Amino acid sequence: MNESLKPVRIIGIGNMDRGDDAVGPAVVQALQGRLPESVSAFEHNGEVAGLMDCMDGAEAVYLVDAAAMGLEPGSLRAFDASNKPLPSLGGAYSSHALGLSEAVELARALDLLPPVCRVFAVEAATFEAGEGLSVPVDAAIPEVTQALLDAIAQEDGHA
Amino acid sequence: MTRKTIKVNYLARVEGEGALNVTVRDGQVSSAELQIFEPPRFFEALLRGRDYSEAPDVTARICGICPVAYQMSSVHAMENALGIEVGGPLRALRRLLYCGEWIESHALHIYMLHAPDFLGYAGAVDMARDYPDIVKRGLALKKAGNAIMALVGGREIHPINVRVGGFYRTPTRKELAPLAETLKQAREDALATVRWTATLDIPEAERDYHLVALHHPDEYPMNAGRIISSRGLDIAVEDYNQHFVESHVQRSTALHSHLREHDCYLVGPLARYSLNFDKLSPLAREAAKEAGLGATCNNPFQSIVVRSIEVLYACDEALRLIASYEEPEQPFVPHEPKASEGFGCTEAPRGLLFHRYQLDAEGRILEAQIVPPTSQNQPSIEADLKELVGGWLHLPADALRERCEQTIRNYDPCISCATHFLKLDVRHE
Repeated sequence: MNESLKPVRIIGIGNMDRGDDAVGPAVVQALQGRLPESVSAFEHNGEVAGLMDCMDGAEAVYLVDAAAMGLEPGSLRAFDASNKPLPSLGGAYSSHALGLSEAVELARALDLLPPVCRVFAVEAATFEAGEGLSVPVDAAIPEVTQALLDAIAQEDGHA
Repeated sequence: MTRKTIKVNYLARVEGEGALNVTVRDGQVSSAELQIFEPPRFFEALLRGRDYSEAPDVTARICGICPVAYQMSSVHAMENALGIEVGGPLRALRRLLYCGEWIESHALHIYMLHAPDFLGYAGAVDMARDYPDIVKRGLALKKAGNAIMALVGGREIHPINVRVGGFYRTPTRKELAPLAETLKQAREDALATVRWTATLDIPEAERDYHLVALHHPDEYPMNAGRIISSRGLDIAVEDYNQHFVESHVQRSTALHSHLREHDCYLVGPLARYSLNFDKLSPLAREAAKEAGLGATCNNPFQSIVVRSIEVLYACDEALRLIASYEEPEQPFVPHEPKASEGFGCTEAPRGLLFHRYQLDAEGRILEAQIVPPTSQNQPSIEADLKELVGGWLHLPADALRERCEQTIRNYDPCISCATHFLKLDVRHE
């Protein structure tokens, strides 16, 4: 089965080379080998057309991304975007690229959003080019990984 | 004396941060200033001391939407410095990669950033609720551009496969075959895009632009040619600095570029199209005619139609390049560094992009000069506003403000590339 075509998909959004923006891909790596058969986890750079392709046809998507919510670095917030818009996650960094909230809303407007869409946002300390994860965000990876596994287990039919 | 102020705090859907101040006195626009206050990014200084071979990868990072343009202008400048000719299939592949960037960048601009202006939406998400099939078509087109970038450039954003002398790896004919299938559908979508943009309610506006673009005897300009203008300029790329000059203005962290003899000028789709109409493919010319365009276009609001013509051309051209592609014997032309100076100019989606480098005997960069299209168009954006706003003063304040924003979005300016949008302050005095 094509990894991206499994019914339940975890998408780690980010850039490995932009400080804590790497949290999405890092969580995907930490999840390898720990997922039920029906669940795939993969990285994505957040480009809107490609991201919608990744969501197309899924029963559920779990999006992991770095955020600027004004919390302590490494803090995790989980949002249910299945039926209502996300709050701003500080993602409107560029108007030539859409932020995650806009990508989710665009998918909803185009009727491409899977029935279940949850977003796991991790407060970032830094988005510096060429830097790795900050200490608090690196330390939060096990918590974020477990939170994802728990959420998937709780979702009917995905355990 | 009547004085009026129109203020827009942030102009959305343009890359980067800046502001606009327009002052109207007694019904006349006395000034229009595009302020760019995003901090400069010092790429030119960052390049100094680095090896010439690093320039394509470093400069690609200047922009996430037109990285190919930066790569192409920098590799061409380096090749010019080192005396390398890149021809045959390697040259064709670069043109294919550039087609990918035009399709991707123009599709994003047409559907996500600019079309909402014509249809009265705040943005693409609102527009998508009422026009889902149209937005899906835009996304499909963008993806076709991305597919070229990924295959030829190594990845969709900030491609990594371009090197001085050619590529790190060249694709096989077999690898290109599925791309042709994607592009055939994209060409249909592009034709539908031309027909659709032609139906938009386009404001009447004509400007007497001094148009500047590359010109090549055999092809619609992308990555090679002489620099020509609608007022008789015809120069080699290496003579750029003799005719164009950048100056600092206090309100802007982007430099303003002028022609020494004719002041402001326009680069980008309208200039390319009007100076090179006969080099478009027959399909693109036919579609332009059907859309009501002549061989030249001086209505800045019609740039959305011209962009869609260029997307159609790029799909057509990409298919031609794939069909005639022969696998090269080697992925790049070998070469040695030497003390030298090189110049490169290509057509980024937003217009002419000039690079100049000076190298030492070991190939270290002593000096880098990068002139992006937005710096060159900044005086022209202000001139558009100055000339056009006077005709719109009867509009209600909100509509006037929106028209000003739309005028700026005609350019699809990339303020990030120029240093770096938009607070609009229109003062009626």
